[in-house]
Amino acid sequence: MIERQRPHSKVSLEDLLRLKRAERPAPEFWAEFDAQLRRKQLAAIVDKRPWWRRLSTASLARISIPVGATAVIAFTLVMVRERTQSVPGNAPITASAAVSSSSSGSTKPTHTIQSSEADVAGSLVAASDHQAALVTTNASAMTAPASVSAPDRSLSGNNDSVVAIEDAPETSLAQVILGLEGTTESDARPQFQSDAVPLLASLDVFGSASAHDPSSLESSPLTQVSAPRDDRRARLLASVDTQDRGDLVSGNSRVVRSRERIANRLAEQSLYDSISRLGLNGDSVSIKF
Amino acid sequence: MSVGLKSLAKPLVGSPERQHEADSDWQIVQKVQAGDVAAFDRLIVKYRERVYGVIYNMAANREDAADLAQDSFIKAFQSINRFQGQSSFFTWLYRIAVNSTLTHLRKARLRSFFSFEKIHEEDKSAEIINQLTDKKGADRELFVKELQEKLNEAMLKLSIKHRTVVTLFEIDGLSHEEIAEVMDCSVGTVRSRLHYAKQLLQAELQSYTQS
Repeated sequence: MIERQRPHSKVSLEDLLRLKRAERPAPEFWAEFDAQLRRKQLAAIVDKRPWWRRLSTASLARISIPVGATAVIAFTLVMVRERTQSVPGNAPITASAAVSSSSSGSTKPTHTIQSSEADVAGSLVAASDHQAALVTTNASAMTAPASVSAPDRSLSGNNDSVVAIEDAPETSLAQVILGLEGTTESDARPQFQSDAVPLLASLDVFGSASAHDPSSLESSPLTQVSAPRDDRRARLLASVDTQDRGDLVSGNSRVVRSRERIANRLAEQSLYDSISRLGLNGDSVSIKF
Repeated sequence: MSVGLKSLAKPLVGSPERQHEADSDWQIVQKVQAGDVAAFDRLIVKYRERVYGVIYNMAANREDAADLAQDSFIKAFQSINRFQGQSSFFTWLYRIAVNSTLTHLRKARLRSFFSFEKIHEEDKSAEIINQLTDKKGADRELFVKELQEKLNEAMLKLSIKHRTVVTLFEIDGLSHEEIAEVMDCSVGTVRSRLHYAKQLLQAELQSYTQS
């Protein structure tokens, strides 16, 4: 068809390109064009805020309340945590140790530490972070096989062990030594009364197995602590027992002299052991297990 | 007043019509710059078809041409305070439109979708079509449609810059100097591009043109 028209064509390339001028939209197109342009123009007139201003006004306005509440909660938690952490370090458990001297002539005087419920509860929070419940225990007494008069005794510790027992200034080292003196290996272990067991159980310091059974305290870390050179002490005591049996046969004077010598050696040994485990620091005495 | 305007507005074209047109545009621009926003509508009505035509012949898509033309007017409106009258307003407006279209075509190079306007047979166009065919009725419409497809196909074979030069020179009637100003290139570059583009078009449309 085009080939058939070619002999009649007298147009140039410029004429063909001018046909492109005739490619125009219909008149009604311009009404829509003007309407759209008007909308865009009005939208362009509206001042566009910078993105940081939109962020600050829109986004921060939405999240301001949650962020504020979270900040307050976080601040409160931090303050409470700092306060609870500062309590055991600055003011450890103040236990009024009412030492009851050995009544009825017993060689095992009970060392009673009475703690107020509030102090115990406060120390519990510091001792175990993961233990949320406040344990109100009626830890009325904790007996130790020591004839030590300790009016104030502080027990500070964490999850692992009892670190130190701070004595009052008036507690003399000699008294502590005497308390350790004359005790056998089994006596050296503190014997906790049944009232103190819930306290230890709540502390979760010595294990849960020994918490409710007093007899199981033998397996607790505190009771498993043995004084150094116990073997030697046991060996000496065994020899004393042997000698006791021999006293029936041999003379009493020899026996008495031998026992005195052994007793002196034991006292010296206990003194050395106590000194090595006791640390005097100002007005407090720390015991190392 | 007019003397001062002429000293500011220095259109490159020397024809009295273009000079008068540039002065008229400059007055309107000054009104818009003074705060008369409605005065800009006169510029829109005056140049919307030409701007749309340039963009349409470059993009070969009527929808994109409408959007780009509107965006060009919006950009011109937003930047009207920076127009100092160093060139004619329509040259400045063309520059905005051409640059927007070039940016759009570069982005949408892989997305080629074409939609064409219908050729309105008027005095000049009808005469050209009559020279090409003597058909009437539906056959004539079919011939015109086929011719239009061939024309646009040949135009689309040109590069964007060559297509722009051809559009501005052959279709819109701008001078070499004006095209150079719009495309921010030298007049020699415009002539070179125009010559090369016309050679390609001649080869593509030789079946319609004089041998």
